[in-house]
Amino acid sequence: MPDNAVTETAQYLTFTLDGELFAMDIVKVREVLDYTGVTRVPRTPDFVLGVINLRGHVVPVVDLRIKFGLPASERTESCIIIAEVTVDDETTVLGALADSVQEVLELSPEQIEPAPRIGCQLDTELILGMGTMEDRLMVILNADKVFSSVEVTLLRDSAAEPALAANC
Amino acid sequence: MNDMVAQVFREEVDDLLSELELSLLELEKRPTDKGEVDRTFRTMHTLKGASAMLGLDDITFFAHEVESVLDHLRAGRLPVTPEIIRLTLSARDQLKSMVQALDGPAPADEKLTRSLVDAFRDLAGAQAELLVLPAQSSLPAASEGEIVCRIRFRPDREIFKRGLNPTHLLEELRELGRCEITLHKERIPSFEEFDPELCYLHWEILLVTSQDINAVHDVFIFLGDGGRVDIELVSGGASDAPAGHDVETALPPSSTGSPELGADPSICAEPVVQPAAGSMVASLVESIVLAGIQPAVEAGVETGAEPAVEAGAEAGVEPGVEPAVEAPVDPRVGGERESERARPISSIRVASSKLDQLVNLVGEMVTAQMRLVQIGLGYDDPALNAVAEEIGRLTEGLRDTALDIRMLPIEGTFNRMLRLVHDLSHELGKEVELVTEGAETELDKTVIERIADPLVHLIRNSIDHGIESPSERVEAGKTSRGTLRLKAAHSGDSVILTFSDDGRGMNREKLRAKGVERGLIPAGAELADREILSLIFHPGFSTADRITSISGRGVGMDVVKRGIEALRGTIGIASAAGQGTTWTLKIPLTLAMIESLLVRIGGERYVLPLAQVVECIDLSELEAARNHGRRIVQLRGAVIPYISLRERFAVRGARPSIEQIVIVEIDGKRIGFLVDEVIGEHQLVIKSIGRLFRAVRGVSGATIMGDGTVALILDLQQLLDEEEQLERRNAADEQAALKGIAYA
Repeated sequence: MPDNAVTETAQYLTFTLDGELFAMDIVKVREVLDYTGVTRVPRTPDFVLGVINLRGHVVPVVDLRIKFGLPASERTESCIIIAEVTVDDETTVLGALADSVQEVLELSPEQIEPAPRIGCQLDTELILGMGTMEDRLMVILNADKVFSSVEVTLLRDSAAEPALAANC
Repeated sequence: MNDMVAQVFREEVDDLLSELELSLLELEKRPTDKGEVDRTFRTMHTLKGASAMLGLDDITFFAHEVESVLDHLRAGRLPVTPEIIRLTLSARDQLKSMVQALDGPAPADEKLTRSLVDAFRDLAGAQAELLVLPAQSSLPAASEGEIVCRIRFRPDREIFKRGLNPTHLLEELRELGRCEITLHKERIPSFEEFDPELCYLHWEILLVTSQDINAVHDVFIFLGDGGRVDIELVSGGASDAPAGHDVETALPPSSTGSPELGADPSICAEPVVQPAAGSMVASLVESIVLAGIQPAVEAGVETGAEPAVEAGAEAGVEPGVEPAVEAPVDPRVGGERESERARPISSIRVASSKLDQLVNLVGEMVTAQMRLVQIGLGYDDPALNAVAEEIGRLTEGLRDTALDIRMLPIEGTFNRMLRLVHDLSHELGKEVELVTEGAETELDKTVIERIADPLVHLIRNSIDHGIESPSERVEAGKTSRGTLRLKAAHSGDSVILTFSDDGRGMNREKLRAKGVERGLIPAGAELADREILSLIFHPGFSTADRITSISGRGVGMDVVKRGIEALRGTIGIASAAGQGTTWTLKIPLTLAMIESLLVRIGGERYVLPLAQVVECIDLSELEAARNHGRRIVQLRGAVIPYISLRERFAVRGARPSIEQIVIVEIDGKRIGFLVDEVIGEHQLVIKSIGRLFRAVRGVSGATIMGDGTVALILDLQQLLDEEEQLERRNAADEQAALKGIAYA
């Protein structure tokens, strides 16, 4: 997957989800917020937490724990990573709920291995690679892909029966 | 091209093209209106100047061709005909696509450009031949016993292949007496198309001779069908010919030939004309040079033939007025902008993105101010509350002003419709007139942009189905010309657009039959008139027996309805058989704000558009139970079905013991939405909910509340449509339940 290949040394923001270490290219990260009240959008899957008000803009927030099949958290201690993603040449903003933000690391391409096809229990589509740093292993996420995967799910859901599940 | 300059140019051209279109349509109604002709010409002239300034040669060249014809109209040399109007309208469209093509990867259709240019040249050319010559003539007066004749010699393009040389014929003419020869080069194509074996030239000769006219005819005796020759006896005496002399002073000095040149035709009035009298080879060489690059052709036309034509002709028609100034101005350099200069600066152009930004900021300010008021309430400090109130007032003023800035008159859209009616009525062979009213009514820019498509659909539908053919109309005792009326008026915070035709009206029987056939209504069902008419809003519904390019495919009315609903508007129909149909569109003034009813369901708050809300009632557990689970309530004798949003949205948690039903009116039907609690009315700023949720049904947008949280705006129409779909699918028992409701 050529668009998933990492060729340059870059900085990554690391964060935890259920004790596991994750990372995201710092260029994609706009800011990190403390957890605030999220407005739920009806008829969306559980991993879509809802929307928040980010200085007058309505920004969707995704619960990465649920998205990656990890147990849901209390959330009150969580924080929201605001990422700028590019989908279909359009730049938009996505909030990702994480347990806690750790630090900013510099990883060279040698420190990043392509995502294993099997055994990591995550959708490899969403992963840029596995980073290693002093024996620590981290999953590097592709924020763009996370967004489009959510979008695809939502489009598919609504194209199916209109909310029949909730009825009768 | 510099981006900013290009932007200004595009905006200016847009304005000019709209103006051009409008004046052409006016001109069609009043072909003799001199003022309108002038306006048309001026607009085209300004456009030419603007494009020339930017060095857009293709556009300048094209505009010039059109302008030449318009100039003939202006000078009264050509009458305003429907043909010219049609042609100029096409040229206007072509100019538009040429300007658009400047940004795009695909160039405008060159073939079309060329064929239009040819058509205009034919018009202009025919004209030039007719009237130019006498004015330009510098021939000495014909004396006693001489005749003056005008010869138009248009050799066939293939003339060289027949072994004939037009130059020889000209030489022969010259031997008959004194003559003045004008060369016409309008038909020389661009260099790529130029075929050196073809003759693109034609001539016009004014001859003063002592021979009789038969001698002149004899010169062309061998021409056969190698070309066209028209010989016209201008005068047999001395009195008429010298007309040209009166205006000689108005000509540029270079074009004033020696008064004595008579016998020597090689010294002609115009330097450019000279080659015509010289050898054929010389003129051809010159033509090739001129045709070398397209702009050069234009330069040739402009510096050579055209100013002379203008100066001469104008002088001939209204001596002493303007021509001396008009002619030498080369629009490529000067680009006259009188109209621009004359207009005082009463408005400025602002990028619409800046306005959007302004409205966004004001929206946030409204939110912040609401928060301030809330905080103020907690402190009970008179000074703080006074400031909060003051800020509230200012914010309100700011909000209204910001929204007002985005308001534009609907006029532009109406004008587009005039053009559409013109084109469609011609295409369908119907006589239709569009009368507009209230064009000055202002709406938000975004609304205006998005109202055009639904209107186009309505108009197409009306002209195709509503308005009868002229003969049918006369039979029905109507005027042969159908009338469409488009009217805009303010009503509270909405605009009411009324569109009506005086056509045949809707055939209810046909609608009903189609409805039954498509399974939309049960056969023999009792339906209100409104319900029958509403059938046409169903997707794929068409009563047209045949499919035309205009309509009949059943895409249309549902598109109209969806377009209007996307603007949070409503659409209604009234129709009287034989008398026509009236559509009433109610559209909010702006898409930036919404008058809303805030409700709570579970832990979330939702916003319902207040415009649709009729009233709110309570629903106790007891009452709900009485109806055995059927979701209906009785209100003043009427049975109203309702939708439980709690169930729809799968909200967890216990239902409150007393819920509330918000009753709304959609498509003339009343329907309730069951919510936990009605909070109150608010004016709120609409925010986009973003691309992620665009597929989520029932939610049309979001808004930010006073406490900074987000509330979702519900799309009631979508929720209702969904409900209806569900019910249709939920087969027999549901059907039975529905019948129970209908006949309860």
